[in-house]
Order: sequence, then C-alpha cells, then structure tokens
Amino acid sequence: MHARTLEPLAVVEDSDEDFEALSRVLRETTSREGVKRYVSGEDAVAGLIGGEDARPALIILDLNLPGIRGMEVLAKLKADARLKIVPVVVLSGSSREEDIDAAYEAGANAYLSKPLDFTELRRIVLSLHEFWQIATLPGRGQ
Amino acid sequence: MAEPLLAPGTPVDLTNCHREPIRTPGGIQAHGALLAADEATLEVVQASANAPALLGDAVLGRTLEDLLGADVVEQLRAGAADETPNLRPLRTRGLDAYAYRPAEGVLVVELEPVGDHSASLTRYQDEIARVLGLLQDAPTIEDLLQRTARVVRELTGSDRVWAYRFEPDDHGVILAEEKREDLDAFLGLHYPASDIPPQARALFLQNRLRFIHDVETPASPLEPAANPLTGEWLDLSKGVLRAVSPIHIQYLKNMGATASMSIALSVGGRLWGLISGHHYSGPLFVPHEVRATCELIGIVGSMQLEALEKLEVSRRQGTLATKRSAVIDHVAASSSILDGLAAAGEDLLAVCGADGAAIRIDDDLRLIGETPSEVMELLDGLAAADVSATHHADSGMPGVLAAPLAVARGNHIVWFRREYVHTIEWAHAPKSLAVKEPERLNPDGSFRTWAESVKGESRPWDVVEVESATELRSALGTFLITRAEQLAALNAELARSNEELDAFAYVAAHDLKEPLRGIANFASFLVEDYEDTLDAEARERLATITKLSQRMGSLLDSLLEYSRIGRADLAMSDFTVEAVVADAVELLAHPPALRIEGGDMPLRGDRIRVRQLLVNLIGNAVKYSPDVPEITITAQAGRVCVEDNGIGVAPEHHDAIFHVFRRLHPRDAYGGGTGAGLTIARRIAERHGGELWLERSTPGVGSAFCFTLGGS
Repeated sequence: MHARTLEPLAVVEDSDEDFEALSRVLRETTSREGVKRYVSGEDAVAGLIGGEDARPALIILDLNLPGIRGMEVLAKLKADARLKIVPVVVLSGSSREEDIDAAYEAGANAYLSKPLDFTELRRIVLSLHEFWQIATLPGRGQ
Repeated sequence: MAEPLLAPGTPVDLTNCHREPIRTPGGIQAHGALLAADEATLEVVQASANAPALLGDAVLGRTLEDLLGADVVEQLRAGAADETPNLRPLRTRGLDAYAYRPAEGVLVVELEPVGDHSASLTRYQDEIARVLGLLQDAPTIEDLLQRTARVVRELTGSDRVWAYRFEPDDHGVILAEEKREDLDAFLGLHYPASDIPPQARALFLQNRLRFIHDVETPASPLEPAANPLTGEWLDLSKGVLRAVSPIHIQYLKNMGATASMSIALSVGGRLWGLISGHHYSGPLFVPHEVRATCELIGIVGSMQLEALEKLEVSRRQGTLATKRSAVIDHVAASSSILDGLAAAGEDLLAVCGADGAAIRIDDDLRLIGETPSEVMELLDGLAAADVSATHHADSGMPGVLAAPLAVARGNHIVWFRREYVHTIEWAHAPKSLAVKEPERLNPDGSFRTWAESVKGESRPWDVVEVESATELRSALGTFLITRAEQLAALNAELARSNEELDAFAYVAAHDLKEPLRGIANFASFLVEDYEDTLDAEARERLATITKLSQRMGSLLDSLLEYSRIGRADLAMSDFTVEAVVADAVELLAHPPALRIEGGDMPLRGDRIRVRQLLVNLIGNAVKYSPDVPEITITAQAGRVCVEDNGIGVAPEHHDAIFHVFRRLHPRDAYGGGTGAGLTIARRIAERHGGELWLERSTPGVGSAFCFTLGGS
C-alpha cells in the first residue's frame, strides 16, 4: 500500500518534556513543519475551531491540560462540523478506566497511555504513525 | 373484691366482721340521745331508747320544735348540711346538739351532755393556736407524730396515745407513743390489717373522728329499729354517737381499754394512719371542745404530713439525682456506656440504694457490688419493656430492680438488694400467721406480742428509688441515641476523608508521573545523543536514573491502583473460584502449577478485582518460593486460602506485611516489587465486605493467606 504523508499532525500537549519526547520520535517520520503544537486547550480551540489553521490529518491529544481540560477539547472537536471527521488519538498519563471509557464515549479514535520508558514510547508512536498512514482517512478531497 | 355488707342487725363475729354494716348499727353510745324526725312535719318518728330519760319527757310523736324550741330547730336544720358536725354543735339546755340528714326528708338530731369540764371555746382557741404552731414547726414526720400524740394526750387526758401509719399492705405500725409512765411501751409494734376492717377505714376518710367514751355501758338501741320513713336502718355515719361494733368493744376490752378514740390522718385522699388513744381507768368523756380541737389537729397534722412527705421525697430525689449525674458523667467520659456504668461503681448503686448491680450490653456483662450467683439466668428471664421492681424475688438476692435498655438484645441494668431478715413484732398474731388460738381475740386473757421472722425479702424499693432508676434509664436512652448519632456522623466524616485521601493519592500519583516521565526520557536522550562521548561511569549513572525512575513509576502505579480500589464501584457478578483463579494465572508472567481444592465454590464479587487479588497472592507465593513452588488453593465455606511452600513470614512481621510499600527484603531480592501487593489484596477483600489475613506462616516452611468476600 502506498504510504501517504500524515500531515499536518496536530499535537495538543502542555508539557514541554512530553512534547520533546514525542517530537523526538516524530522527527523520524514527519517533517518539523508537518507537526503543529498547541500548548493548551484554549490554544487548540482558538487555532483549530475558530482560527485559520489547516485541518490536520490526525490530532494527538493530551487529557491533562491546564485550563480547558482535554476531554472538553475532545468534545468541541467532535462537535465541530469541519473537524469531527479528523481522527483523535488520546495520549494520556492516565490509565484510569473511567478516563479511557469517557474518552472513547466522547469520540476518541484511540487511547494510548504515556509510558515511562522512552523506548516504549518510541515503539508506540511509530506504531501509531504507521497505522494511521495505512488507514484510509476521510476528507482527503478538501 | 369487697364482699357485700351483712344485713343490719346480723350477729357479727371474727369471721364476718369485715362485712359488718358499721354505718347502720341500730343504736348509739348511751351517754347521748338521738331523735329522728320527718323534716316536713318535724315529728319525731324514731329515737334512742334513752332519749325520754335524757330529755325528761316522751319523745316519739312529738315535734322537734316542741322538744328543743323552734329557734334551735331552725339553726340545726341550717347547719345540717355541714360536713363536720363535730366542729359545730349547738349548745342548748346543757346539751350539745348536732343535726344531719341520713336520708331524704329525715332529720336526725344527736344530743350529748356538755359535761362537767365544759369550758369556753375561747380557752381552746388559745390551745389551738399553741398546738398548730407546734405542729407547723415539726422538722420531720417522726417529730410531727410525736408532738401530735403528746398534744392529743394532754388535751384528752387519755392514758395512752399512739400515732401509727398504715403500711402499703394496710397493716399498722406504731411510730410514736405518749403514755402513762407505768404502762408497757407499744412503740414499734405492728397491727394486722384486719384489726381495722376496710369499711371502717373508708368511714375514717368521711368522718375523721371517733370517740368511744365507755366500753362497758351497752348501746342504747333505736326504737323502732327501722326508720318508719325509709323502712331501713338509719345511717349514723355522719354523727358522733354511732354505737360501736360489738367485735370492736370486745377487742378494746381484751386490750384492757375502757375508752378509746381515733383521729384520721390522711394524705392525698388515702388514710395515712391514725392518732389513736386508749384509756384504761374507766369511762373517758371528752367534751365537744376538745374533740373539735383534736379534729383540727388531725386536719392540720395531715396537711403537715403531706408537706413533710413531699419535702422528704424531694430531698431524697435530690440526693438520688446527684448520684445519677455522677453516673452520667462517668458514661460521658467513657468510650462506651457499659464501661461508663461499670466505672460509676458505688454511684450506680446509690442511684436507687442497691447493694449490687449487673449491667449487660450486647452480651458483655459487668457486675458491681454484691450480685446473686444466678445473675445470667435472671437477666435472660427479663422480658418486660418497663422498669420493674420486686423485693421478694426467688433469687439469692430477693430485691431486684430491673431497667431494660433494649429487651430484644438482652440489654439491661439490674440492681439488687440483699435479703433483709427482720422480725415483726405483732401486737397479736395476724390471721396469716395461722397461730392456733381457740379464742383469737383473747389468747390468754391479755394481749401479747407475736414475733414473726421475715425472710426471703429485701427492703422494698420505694417510689422515689424506682423513679430514679427510670430516670437514669431515660437519660441513658438519650445517651444511646446521641452516641449512635455521633457514630453515624463520625462514620460519614471518615468515609468522606477516606474518599478525599483516595482522590488525593490519585491526583498526587498521577501528577508526579509527568515530571518522572521527563526525567526518564531525558536520561534516555542523554544516552542516545551522547553515546560516543559518555564514559562508562556516566552511562552507568544514567542507567541508574532510568532504573530508579522505573521503580518510582511502579510505586506510583501501585498507589494509583490502591486508591482506585477505594473509589471505583464494584461490578458484581457470580463466578467460581476455579474460573477466577484461571483468570489470574493467565496474567502471571510465569504461571505456576496449582492444586485447587473446592474449586467449584461460588463467589460473588467484582471479578476483575478478585482476579487482581489472586494475582497478588499467587504472585507472592511464586515470588517467595523455591524453584519449584507448590501452591495449593483451598476453597471452603466462603473462604479461599492460598498456601505455598515458600520462605514464610517471621511472627514479628505478621502485621507489617500488610502495610503499604513495606518490604521485608532488599528491593531487588525475590524479583523486586513495590510492597503494595498485600495491601491492595486486603483492600479488595475489605471493599467486598470481607477480610484477608495471614492464616499461618512458618519461616522456611511456607505461608497460607486466606480471604473472604463478605456476605453477598
């Protein structure tokens, strides 16, 4: 199957360290310009829903955000006509069942727990990237 | 209960005197005379046989006006409604006259000689003032009775005057005595209740004074016997001359009395006792003025008695209330009502003047002071919901005062009183003693005392003491409720703070993981990015940082897991031990060989959590066992045990192993671990309403951990 470029890739993550770890892996698959970071829920809502930002191919969303919580951002994304077809992968520090269930109920397309081991993170992110590259995504005709 | 009275005129003896119609004796004491007239015509239709002699003329068929004068009759008719004829005679022709209406349309006039010692009422008014002052000053009931007896003896000149009280069973006991010096003392003697039959007691409440001036002179009969107007024998109970029962005359004669008198003492509508006088030296005519004074003394004495009784009751109530507060203080200061009551000791006994007490609350028994050996049987036999008292229980201690706290749960306070063996000196043998006497009224020509030894009884519990026990019980009831409310509030508070603690642990663990990830990741970056420049030591240190981060991560995961068990709802389902053990084994990295006994035993719980519990227990069994672990799981009667042949736990560590993050071994020994496994397992069992414990453990031989999941 022909591998497409999974860009732009939106990352909603407030923690610089976590973003750096994620970026370190994404650097292997995606160009620096292909990753758009939002540092808070407000930032993401303003840029994606109300703003001019291009519709991303995939959104990676942290749940534990300052201000607007990740779950709220997810709900807003899924309520937005333009964005609701974009797959959202939750990447959270929480492995709590309630959080996992709530995320899927709100329309998350996948839920991944942030591992402590960087090797494990790399494996997860590369797998994730590979899967969403292979999967046929909606809205390519825009 | 009360048998009907005999027909008037029926001969009476000891067997039927309790039915004697004493109001209609058909005659009068012969020192006076009686005239009964038709009130419409004032014609005398019936009179005592001695009336013509006293008035010096025939009386039957004459009018009262004719005999006594129109003005006197007018006044007598006006005063006839008076309740107390003794106080208001009309003095005419050297006679004191009293009038009353025994029946509709019948006017009775009693006439009595004024007597040799007649004195003006003013003299007695001084006397009355002195006497009333004396009675009012009496500080105690004993004093009051003593003073009353003395005053009455002074006034009447009677050889002996007693004051006696009727006990609850109506027998009398002499509490005060004033007598001629040469006479034997009767103080403290008891009189059987039958000495004063019930109809006589009732009459005392209506007509407070009774004088028998001469036991030797026979009564003067009424003629005709039946009143022509009513066709019945006249009711003489309102008068002063009413003839005495022949039985009573015999009784007095047996005592050697020649004249007697009685004054009623009443409290609260009950005949409390009598002031009673006996004369031994011939007839004793007590003139009207003295009788009137005596009647006043009876009335004032009764009022004073009532006041003193109330005072004594309230004093006693005050004393007992102090004891009750002391008991309540003890209870308030104790962690349990039982301990508080037991700690109150003597104060608890003093609440109702007991010699001992037993308290049982929820099968926990405490004894204070002297208690009977059969106390448990006695407590088990208590069924009444109210406070009950007896002083003749069939028990080692006959006084039993029981205050139930919760009958259904067998919770009681019971006070005991020891047997009070005492002797009652009866003035003469009561019928109940069944003493053989051919002539009971006159055993051997004189009165003599009979000593009755009373056994199998304690001193009776009085009203105030029973009240005090009741009060204490109510106070404790309030306390029980308050204690229950306090516990409920405390439990709610505890549940809330537990929840908060769980929430805190969760947030703390979660938030700590973020910087920890950073630390771990950056250590990894350093190794990756500077692989060529780092020396071996630096690489080793970075590897240690990574390892420590991983370890901290595990600890935080355990904490998260632990806090989650307390917070998450349980998804209950039914499964067998076998099934959930299989679930658990699947999760283990190195599944051991297991032997299961009773695997088909059903369990009900949150299967995921129970699986986790078993993973922890089996995991530990594997971890702390030799290369080939022998693990047996036994399920029986709701209880599941996991037994291994591992290293065991030394007895001093049996508690410590359940403490969160507590490890007994170096953290890298036995494959490491956070030290939270058992704590989490126990919490899962407890969350289900069950328990988890170390059943047995021998170092070097093995351990057995067991758990239950509670009722449902």
